[in-house]
Amino acid sequence: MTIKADNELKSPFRYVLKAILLSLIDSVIAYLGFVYIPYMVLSSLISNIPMPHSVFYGGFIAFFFIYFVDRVSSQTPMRILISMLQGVIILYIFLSVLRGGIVTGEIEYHGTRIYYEADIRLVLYPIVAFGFIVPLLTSIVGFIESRIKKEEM
Amino acid sequence: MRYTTFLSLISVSLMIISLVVIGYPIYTFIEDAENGKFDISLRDIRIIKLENNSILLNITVYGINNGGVRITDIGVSIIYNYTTLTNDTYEGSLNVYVGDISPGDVVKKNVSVYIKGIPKELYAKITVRMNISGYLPFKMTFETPILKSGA
Repeated sequence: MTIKADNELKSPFRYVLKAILLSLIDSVIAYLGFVYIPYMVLSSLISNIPMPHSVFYGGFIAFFFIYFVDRVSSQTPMRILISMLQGVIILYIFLSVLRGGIVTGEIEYHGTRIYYEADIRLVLYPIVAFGFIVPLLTSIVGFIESRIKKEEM
Repeated sequence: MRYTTFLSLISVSLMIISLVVIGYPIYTFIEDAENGKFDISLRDIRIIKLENNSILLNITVYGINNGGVRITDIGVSIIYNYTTLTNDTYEGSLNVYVGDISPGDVVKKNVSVYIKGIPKELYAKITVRMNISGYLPFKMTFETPILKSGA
C-alpha cells in the first residue's frame, strides 16, 4: 500500500494517465450497457424513436467525467454521488430520446393513411428503476457495509 | 468480478428485458395493423331517408383482431362533417365504445346518426383509442369518406 502510494507520488502523470484510461474503459462499458444497447433495443422494436446525437455524445463525456472523478477519489461517499449522477445522465438521455413519451408514425393500409401515437412513457419506469434506483441503493448499501466493517475492526 | 460490476450487469440485463417486454407488443401490433390483421372500420352503412328532409345513417363499427396481441378498452370517436344539397355545412360527433378484442375475435357495434338535410358529401375523422396488451395506450387517427358526391 505504501509502496503503491510512493509510486503514485513519484509519477502523478502516469497515475492520471492510468485513471483516464480506466475511466474511459468504464465509461464505454457503462455507456454501452445503460444507454446505447437499451436505445438500440427500443428503436428496433418501436420505429421513429429519435436519436439526438449531441445528447448521446454529451452523455458519454459526462459518463467519462464522473468515472474519472470516481477513479481519482475512490472514496465510498463519492461513489454514492457518482451513482446518482450516472442515474441522472441516463434519465436525461432517455427523456431527450422519448420527448414526452409519445412516439408518432404513419401506417398505410389500403390507401388510407393512418396516423398513430403510441404512449411509451412506461419505458421510463425500468430506466429509472435499473439505471438510477438500483445502482444508487447498491452503492448506499456498500457504503453502510464498509462503515460497519470499519467499526467492527 | 467486483460485486458492483456484477450488480451493474444484472441491472442492465433487467433494464433490457423490461424494454423488450414493453416494446414487443407495440412492435407486434403495428406489424398486425400494417398487414390488416387488426382492423377497425365502418361497414354496412345504410341510409334511411326520413320525412323531414333529413336522413338516418345506420353504421356498424367492426373491430377485427387476427393479430397476436390483445387489445383492450377500444373507444372509437367519430367526428363527421357534411355538406348538404343546399350547400350548408354541418359537423357532429359520436363516440362508440367497442371494448376488448382478443386475438381471433370480431366485435360489431351498431350506431345510428341523424343527419339534418340531404348530404352530398360526408367525411368522417375517426380516432381510435385503445390499450395494447392492456397497459400501453395507443391512438390511431384517419379520415375516410362515408358519402361522396356523385356516389
